[in-house]
Amino acid sequence: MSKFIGLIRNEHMKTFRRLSTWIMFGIAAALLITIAAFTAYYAEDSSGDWRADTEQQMQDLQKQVENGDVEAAAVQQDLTTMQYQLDQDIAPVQSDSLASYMESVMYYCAPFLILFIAIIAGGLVSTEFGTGTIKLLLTKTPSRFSVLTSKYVSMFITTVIFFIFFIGFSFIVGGIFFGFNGFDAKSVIFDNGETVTNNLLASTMRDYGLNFVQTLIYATIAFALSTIFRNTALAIGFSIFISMFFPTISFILSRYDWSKYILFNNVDLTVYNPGNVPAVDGMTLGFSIVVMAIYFVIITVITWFSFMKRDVTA
Amino acid sequence: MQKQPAVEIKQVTKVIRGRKIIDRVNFSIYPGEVFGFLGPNGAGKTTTIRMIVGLMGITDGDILIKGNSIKTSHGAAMKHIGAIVENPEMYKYLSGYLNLVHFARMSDGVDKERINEVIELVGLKNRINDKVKTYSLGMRQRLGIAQALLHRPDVLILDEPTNGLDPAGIREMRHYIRNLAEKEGLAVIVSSHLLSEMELMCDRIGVLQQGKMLGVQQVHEMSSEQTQMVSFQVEPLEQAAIVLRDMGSKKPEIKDKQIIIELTRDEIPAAAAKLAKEAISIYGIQAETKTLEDTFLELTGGKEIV
Ligand SMILES: Nc1ncnc2c1ncn2[C@@H]1O[C@H](COP(=O)(O)OP(=O)(O)OP(=O)(O)O)[C@@H](O)[C@H]1O
Ligand SMILES: [Mg+2]
Repeated sequence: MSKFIGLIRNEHMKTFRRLSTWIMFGIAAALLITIAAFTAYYAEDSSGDWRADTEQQMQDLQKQVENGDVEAAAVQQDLTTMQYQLDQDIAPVQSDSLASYMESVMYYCAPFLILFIAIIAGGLVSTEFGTGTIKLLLTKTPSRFSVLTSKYVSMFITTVIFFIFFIGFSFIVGGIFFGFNGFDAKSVIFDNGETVTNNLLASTMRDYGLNFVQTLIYATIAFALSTIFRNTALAIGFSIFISMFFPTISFILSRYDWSKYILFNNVDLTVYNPGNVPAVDGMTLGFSIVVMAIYFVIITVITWFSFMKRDVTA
Repeated sequence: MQKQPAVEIKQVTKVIRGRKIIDRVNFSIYPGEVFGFLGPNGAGKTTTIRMIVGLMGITDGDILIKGNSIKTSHGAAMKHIGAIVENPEMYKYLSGYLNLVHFARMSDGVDKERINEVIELVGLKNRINDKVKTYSLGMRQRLGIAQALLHRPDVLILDEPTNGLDPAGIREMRHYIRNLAEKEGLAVIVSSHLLSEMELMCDRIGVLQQGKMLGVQQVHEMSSEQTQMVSFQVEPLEQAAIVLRDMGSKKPEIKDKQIIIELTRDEIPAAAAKLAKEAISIYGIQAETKTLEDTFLELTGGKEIV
């Protein structure tokens, strides 16, 4: 067991002694600060009374409908939401608040997390083959199974570290820019014709959790391709390509019922949040979890089998 | 009395995509000896070594390391092996020291002291904290050896250890290897396609060609019966040839202004005394251990060694 921990420490040493990993953290930090600066710069003045502002907005919208500028149905949700805010005394969330900023970071940076983790995961095994160090790694006492498993565990921990960095750093940057307050900010969401409120920070954390699952699946795919094909470019390229373009493909395929069995249609669990809809009608959270679990088992079995059985000719 | 072999290669065959790369190779290596694995390019030296260290599967046969099958007890077998396969590849972005820490974590009972001891042994102390990408090939070779010795193995396997080294480096490597075998009792397997190099460093040499073990030859046959080719640089040649006529088993030959004759070790001083007695000037006597090369050429059918 202590040797397995040693293996994980080795993998961590290799990940975090690489310049490329620190460049990723650097890019992430720059990104978060940029988002904060833009948010602060473009934020609307909100010094006034929010009730008066909201009432004014509602009147403006109604006027537009009367003039025939917009369809009544199109603004119905907005009007209902605003009325609800007035009735329930829920101040709308200001964009230049900590909670709103953290939510934006979560939303805009989810693809970056997938990108960074896929880059790391896609090189974990194949670079050892590329540099020939795999020969040293596999000619020590630990079995091939433990070597590969330690790499996967290390990848998992690295993913956790990246998520903690994004959450922690956005909290600090957001606090510095917008003040450490407004933790109880609530947003109003329209779900199935009903208005519901939710705590913005809590829902942001929930979505980080759901994105973590998605990131881990893409990372697992990159890791698997890296192991099976021993090719870093392929592993990183494919997983990032899919993560970026699948939403489009998914839209095209959504009219076919069988497309709900495609793994990538099930990895984004935020579609089951209130107010969102899944790609194919009738998909449920439970369904997606089962589909992911089945794919996960198949992918890992193939990956581990391939790593343990094949000749090393690097 | 025969010692327990450190490595036993038993009827090992390797088939890759229908091609027999290694064909029923069979040999053993004993503690304290340096075993040379000689063969032209593509003979299958690296493939055999890869099978010994478990990087490649064995199609048929078995390999035992201190009695542990590499097929069924990888961990127990690898505990006894330190190896460099082909090139000493290390993590270039890590320092030499961190590379050793990395491999120390993969082995049992390797502490800081042992790491420092090994660094001292291979003479890398001054550069050990530099990144490996700044190392010369010779330094990487040393780091490779350090890595292989870290866990005090009983068997050291080096695939072409002198590849890319300068003459001084080669001599030093040879010295290391002999020392490890003689003083520490390690069984060492080295591969090479240079016979001359192997002769200086090995106790036994196995000749591999096209996946077949053609034979295993003892290098330093010091027994008095073993004959060797001896060349005499003498004047006058013809007279000397007559003097040496009844020595050795075959007739002396005159080649390149010297006399070549096959003699046993004990006959060399006797021959010199005889020549001196006949007032023949002796400018030099060389005993050439040609027998090995002859054997090698015989075995490989006179094929050029690359
Ligand atoms: N992965 C592989 N797939 C197919 N053939 C292979 C593979 N690896 C090695 N071979 C073949 O096996 C034979 C032996 O190769 P090997 O590398 O063991 O030779 P070698 O004796 O180490 O040669 P060298 O002196 O050039 O290092 C060669 O004919 C080679 O083409
Ligand atoms: Mg070779």
